[in-house]
Amino acid sequence: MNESITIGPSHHNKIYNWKIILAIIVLGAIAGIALLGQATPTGFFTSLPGAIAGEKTIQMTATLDRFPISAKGTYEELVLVYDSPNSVLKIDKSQLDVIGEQTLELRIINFKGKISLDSLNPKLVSLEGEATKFYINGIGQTSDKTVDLTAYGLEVKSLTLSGASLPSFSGEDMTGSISFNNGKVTFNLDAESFEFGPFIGIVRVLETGQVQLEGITNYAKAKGLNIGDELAQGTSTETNEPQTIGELSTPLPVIIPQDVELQETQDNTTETSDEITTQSNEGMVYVIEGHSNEEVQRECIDVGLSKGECEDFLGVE
Amino acid sequence: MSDKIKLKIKPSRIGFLSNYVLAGIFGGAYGGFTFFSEFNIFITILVAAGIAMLLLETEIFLMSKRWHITPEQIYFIDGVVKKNRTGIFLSTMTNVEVRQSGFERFLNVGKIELHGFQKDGPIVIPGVRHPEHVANEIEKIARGQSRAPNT
Repeated sequence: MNESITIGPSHHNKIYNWKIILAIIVLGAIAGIALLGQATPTGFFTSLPGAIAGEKTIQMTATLDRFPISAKGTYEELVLVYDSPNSVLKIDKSQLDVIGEQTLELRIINFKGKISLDSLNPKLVSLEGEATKFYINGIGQTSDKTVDLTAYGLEVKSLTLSGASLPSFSGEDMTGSISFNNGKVTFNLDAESFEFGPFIGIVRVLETGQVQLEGITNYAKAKGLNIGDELAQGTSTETNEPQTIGELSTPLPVIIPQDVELQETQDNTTETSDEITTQSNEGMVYVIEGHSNEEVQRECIDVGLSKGECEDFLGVE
Repeated sequence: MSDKIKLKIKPSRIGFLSNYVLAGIFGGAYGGFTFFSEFNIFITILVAAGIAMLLLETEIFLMSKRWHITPEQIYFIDGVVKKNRTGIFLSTMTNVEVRQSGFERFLNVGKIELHGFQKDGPIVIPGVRHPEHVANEIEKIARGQSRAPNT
C-alpha cells in the first residue's frame, strides 16, 4: 500500500511533535526574554522609556561628588564665585585677587580656553584662556582686544559653566546620582566607575563641593547601566584615566596676601596721582594720561587695580 | 471514478481546533509580554512565524486532503495544484473504527480508522465531523448497501 494514503498513528504523532517543539520554542523564548528583563540589576531594560532608546541624544542630570576633567573649548558663560584670600586670577598681566572679606563674582562671556577641575576637590579650578568681555561683581569690563585669563588651583565657592561642550568622560570610584529623561530613569553610583559620551550643557560646582551636570549626551555606562548607542558614536572614551588639573603644567604664581583694605589702597593711589597729572581729577581716585576718566574708572578703578597696574593694563609707558 | 462516488469525506476545520488554540496561546503570551515589557522584534517574528505555521498547516491540510469512497474502492486524493490519487479496494478492509477523545466527543469530531490487510497499518481519516455516522455509511457501502450519496 502506498504510504501516502496511510495516515497512521505514527505519522499523526509526528504532526503533534513539531507543534510541541514549536510551542516550547515560542513560549520558552517569551518567558526567557521576559525573565532576562526582570533579572537586570537595575530593572533598566524594562523601565527605560522607548523614547530614550530611540533617540540619539539622552537628557542627563548628574550630581557627583567629584568630576575630574580638563576640557578645552568655548564656553558661553563662566561664573566664578570665590572669596579665598589665596585665590588669584590673572587678567593679562594684572592680578585680580581677593582682598579682606571680599567675595568676588567673576562672570566671563564667551570664554575660549581650557578649564580643569581637581580630581579630588572640584572646588579647585584651573583655567587658561581668553575672553573679550567679563564682569566683576556685576560691573562689565570690555576691551577691543581679547584678554588672557589665567588661574591655577583657584579655590572657588561655586562655579557655573554654561554652554559647555565636554569630551567623553570616564571616571572610577564615582559617587552620586544620575537621572535620564527628566528623572524618568534614575541611577545611583556608590564608588563605581561611570562613563558617558560627549556632553553639552551646564556644569555647576556647588558650594557643597558636589558637581552638577545638566545637559545631553549620547550614551552612559556604569555597572548595570548601559544607555544609548555607543558604537554608533565612535570611540567611547578619549582616555582611560581621569584627567586632572596637572595638565596645566605652568608653575603656580606666588601670591602675597594683602592685609590693607581696598579703600585704603585707593586713597594711597589718589595721592600719587595728584603729583603726576594735570588732568581734572575731581571725584577720581587717580587719572592716567591719555585716557579718559570714564575709561580709567571702568577699566581700572572698578576692577580694583592700582595706578601702576592700571598703567600696565592700558599700556601706558 | 466520479460517477461511482458514494461518499466524499473531507477533514473538518474543527478537527484542527488544537492548532487554533495553540495559535491563541501564542498570541496571548505575546500580548502579555508586550504589555509588561518592551517591544522585541525577535519575539514578534517568532510568534508571527509560529502562528502562521499553525494556520497554514490547517488550511493546506483542509484544501489538499480528500477521501472518496466508491462501491469498490476508497480513494485518497492529495494535493492542491498537483493532485495524487491512490485507491484501495474495500474488499481488503476488515473493520471500520471511530476514535474520539473526550473533547472530540464534545465537539462531535473524530478520526475513522479503516483496518484491513495493509502492511502499513490502518487508513486514518482525521478530523471527521459526525464520525459515527460516516463510519456507518462506509460500512454500508462496503457491504453494497449504500444509500447516502454525500456527507
